[in-house]
Amino acid sequence: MMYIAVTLFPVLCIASGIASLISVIRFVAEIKRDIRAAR
Amino acid sequence: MNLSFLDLAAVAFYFGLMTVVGVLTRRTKTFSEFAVGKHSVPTIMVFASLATTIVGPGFSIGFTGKSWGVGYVFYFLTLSYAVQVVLCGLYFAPRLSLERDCSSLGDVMRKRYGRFAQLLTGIVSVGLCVGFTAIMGKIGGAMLHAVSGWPMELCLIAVTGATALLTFTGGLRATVATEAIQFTFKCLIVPLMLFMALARSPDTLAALSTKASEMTEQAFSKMSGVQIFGIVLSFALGEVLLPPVANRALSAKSGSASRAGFLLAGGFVVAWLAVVATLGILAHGIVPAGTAGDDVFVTLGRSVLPAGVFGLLLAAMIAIIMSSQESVLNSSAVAFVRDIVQVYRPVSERATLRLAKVSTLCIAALAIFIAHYSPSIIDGLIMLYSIWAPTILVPLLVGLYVRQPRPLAGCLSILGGGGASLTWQLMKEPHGVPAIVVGLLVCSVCYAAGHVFGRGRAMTSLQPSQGLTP
Repeated sequence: MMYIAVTLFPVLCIASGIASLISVIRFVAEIKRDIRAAR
Repeated sequence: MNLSFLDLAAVAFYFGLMTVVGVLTRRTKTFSEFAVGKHSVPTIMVFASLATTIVGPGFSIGFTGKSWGVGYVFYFLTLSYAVQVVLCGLYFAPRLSLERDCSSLGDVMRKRYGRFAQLLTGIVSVGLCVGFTAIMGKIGGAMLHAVSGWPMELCLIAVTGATALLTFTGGLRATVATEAIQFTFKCLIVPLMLFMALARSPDTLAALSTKASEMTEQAFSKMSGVQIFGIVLSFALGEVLLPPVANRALSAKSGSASRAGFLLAGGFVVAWLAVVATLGILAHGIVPAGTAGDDVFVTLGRSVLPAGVFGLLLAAMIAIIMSSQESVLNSSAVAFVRDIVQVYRPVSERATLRLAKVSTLCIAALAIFIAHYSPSIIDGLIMLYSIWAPTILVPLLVGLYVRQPRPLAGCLSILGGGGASLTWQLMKEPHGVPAIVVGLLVCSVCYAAGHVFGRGRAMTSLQPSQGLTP
């Protein structure tokens, strides 16, 4: 358990964080586009 | 707690980033945008938002404190929570996503059981969300108080007030966007802390692993079967499709986006809980032996992280609290407007949006007031879990599958289950049987009775004026 918890699991968390960062940049850009279109 | 300039700069950077995102995403023109982000949230955002809502202070700071004392016991017991999220993703979330005319759980209940069931759902949802906001605010306030030394009153207002302003300005899409950034913070800083703690630990990995096994076995041997069952059940059912979780399903752009988001979140919970639980075990040898469980996380961070990065950890901790509060505040405002105010009296689209925004601030103010009187964190959370599952869970889940639901079954199960759970709690849970078990049992019996004796009702879509879809 301990071995997986210090190798695989933290790497999965970091990968999730990076995926989330990329997605949020795209999501905010999409919201900005929507706001501009509404104007 | 003395903070270096770099630590303060890191915290300021975090708040600056949140403000920028809040400003960029602040414009909401319709209630549908405010409540469910126009049903347009993509998979990864559903996942990040859901995961960050789930991973609150209990599943991070509290979890490290528990494993510091009892090894991996709570990790294994809490895996039932991850299973619950995965099952929701497979069976219930995609069905909720198909309810394109619904903005809240109350709407879903109304389509199946009528207006009175919607009102009951609204009352339970708002009450529960106010309770959650108060508990999260209390944790955040205590943390800010420890860091800054400001009066507790001011800290409570600062934490919940800042969250309310972010939620007030942009609605669900802004909430989801800020939550994804908060998720990124947590996911990068906490594993980094794990690696640094591992490097600083005086013990080898093999020795730590043996220690963890011993602690876990010893703690398990001290627990009774009923105790283990009660904890597993509370984690498995206590938070199923809570308003902020259900709102993520309703806001997903499709059934498959919702399913994938929930499945990824379930998997993430398994990995995340292992990381924070391991921090508690690594803390032995780094943190002084007499440290209180709840202080282990911060003390460990202080010991292993360099200046600046510790500030980022504080930012991540603030993120953990704010992200949970944001989702709950947004859901409570939506439930208040849709499921209480609008049930018997239609309100115009414009007025609805204004009302939702104002009620966000009012609910935050009420939560700040209640935070003064709330019980201890864990007691408060268990009390709230024991109300949600026995009231809403059975009629909601059955209603998603039954063709002709009976309004009597919906209303009777909410009232019966809630009443039984509250009474059992007031009686101090006789024979150690958890209130959630008694409540669920009564709720199921009431539902079955209502289904047998009640009259069927054809399910109808909400009208635009009711559903408020653009």
